[in-house]
Amino acid sequence: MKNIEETGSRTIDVHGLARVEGEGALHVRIESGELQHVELEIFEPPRFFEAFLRGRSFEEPPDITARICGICPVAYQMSACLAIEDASGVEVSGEIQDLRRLLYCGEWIQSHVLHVFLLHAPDFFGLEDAVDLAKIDKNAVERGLFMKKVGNKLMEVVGGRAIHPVNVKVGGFYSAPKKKELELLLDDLKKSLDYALWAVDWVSKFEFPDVETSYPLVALINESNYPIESGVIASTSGLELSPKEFLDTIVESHVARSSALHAKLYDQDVYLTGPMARFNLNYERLTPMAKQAAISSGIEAGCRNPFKTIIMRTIETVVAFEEAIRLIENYTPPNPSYIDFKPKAGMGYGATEAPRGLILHRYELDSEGIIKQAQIVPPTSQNQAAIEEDLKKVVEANIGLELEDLTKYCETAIRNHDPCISCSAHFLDVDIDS
Amino acid sequence: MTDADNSQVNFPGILIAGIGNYYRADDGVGPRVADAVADITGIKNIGPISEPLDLIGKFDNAKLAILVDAMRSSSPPGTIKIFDMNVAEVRTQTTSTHGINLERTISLAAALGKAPEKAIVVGIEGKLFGDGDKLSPEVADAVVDAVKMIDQIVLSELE
Repeated sequence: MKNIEETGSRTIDVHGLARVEGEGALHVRIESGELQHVELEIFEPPRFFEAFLRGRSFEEPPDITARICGICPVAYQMSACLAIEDASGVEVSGEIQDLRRLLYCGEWIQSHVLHVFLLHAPDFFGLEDAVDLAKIDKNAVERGLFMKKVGNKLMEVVGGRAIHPVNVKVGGFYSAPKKKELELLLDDLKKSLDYALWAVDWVSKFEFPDVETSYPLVALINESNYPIESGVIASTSGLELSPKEFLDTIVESHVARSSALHAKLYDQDVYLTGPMARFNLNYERLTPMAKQAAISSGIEAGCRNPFKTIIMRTIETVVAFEEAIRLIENYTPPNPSYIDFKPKAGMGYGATEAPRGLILHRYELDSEGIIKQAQIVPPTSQNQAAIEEDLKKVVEANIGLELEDLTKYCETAIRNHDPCISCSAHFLDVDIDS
Repeated sequence: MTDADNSQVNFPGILIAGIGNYYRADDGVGPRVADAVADITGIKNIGPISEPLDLIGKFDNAKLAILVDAMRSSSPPGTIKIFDMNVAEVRTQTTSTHGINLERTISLAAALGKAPEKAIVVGIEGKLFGDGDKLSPEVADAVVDAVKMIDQIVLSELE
């Protein structure tokens, strides 16, 4: 990357940012060598899912909201179930909760492996995409594809299919897989665990820019395990809140450049959810092999470099494989496979950890179980302002770079957070004006 | 409508896959055509495929892979176009930007040494892509023609 003398103004425009989900753009304006503004524009059309849900039965949100995203449908299903169960005073635990965690592990594996190997790793080699990566490191891409396939299979067995699972219902599952069906996955899961451990070592040797962030990190915490499908909401700034209290704490507001709402703590503080938040707030709860992999890779709690999220994502992939193996080895099919209950009038809240961050659902039900109000807060709308903060740091630290190099840097900085614009639209193109 | 049962596989080395969703109207034309070709000829059906990336690992060192997909190219609905992916520069898209499109999937398979010797895409111009398990009349009318064209492709491959 060459430095150039700064004169006049420059614009970086990336119209249609590649390798992120959905429709968005980045606009950066630099004048006389100084950054004027950074705008992450989200122009994916609004999805209106919250409006679709009004007037529907309490049993429908898991299937309707799963359609918001093909990458993290389980996150929507699980948060929806928790919220509806909460409204009805029902708590799901034991074998059904374990099966939910197992299904969620499948989604984490699918999503994290896809992002690490096919979407993000090529950036660290200066490559266009996974096809070019496969030309220089066939072994890495083959291992990634193997792990993704295993994640898909896990989703199929527990969820009924790999995308948009159909086996999730409020209170549990339509049917519980047989232990033998799950045990058939164990050999491939164990092989994948070895590949995931290798991947932590592989990505930890990438060259990372020296960028530190300071915004609060927000994630679920959980006393018993690394949070995926349950927990209370905590932040590096000392918050510890229920989903209801958290929704009362954040303010979602519309900004003209985005069809995704921007969420801020107390209407002013930018915060970040996702792997960096989970890793920092839950380092002590990493599974044994994931913890050892983190130590070996040299990454530890306190790491605030967003470019190193690729390491955290692979460590979380180890967590997901370890947990999937443990859950299958200890599996007893829940019988019945769901809790049958009558809905109650009231408000319910649900928060789980989608692969790219905290996802919250809130539903108000009437006494017949009809949804009067729905609110869905996906990770990318919470992360959008933090991504803009990262971009400011990246541009300011590299303002002398050639336009093409600076643009690539910005695109990588956005991909650090694996944004899902389709989910958040209520989001990408990059445009640097200098 | 699940993975086709090819109890008797004819034409070893030749594979077919329909790409699409049976329940999104004309997007389901690829799987329907592939199912029909497999039923009639016994060619191994490796579909239906909703995410092109899922094709990698299924090509199985094939001599020829025939991939049938709905297309949107501004042609009249029901128009059938044949693309030799080893020759043509075809720009394809996926409905998910988190996915890998068909053209890059074949390139990725090639980089991994897993591509078929020859890949042919049969594109059928769609009209309706909303919910529903029925094809539009124009696209439904194209199914038989597409099956016949694929039959000719297979025969010429065997010559």
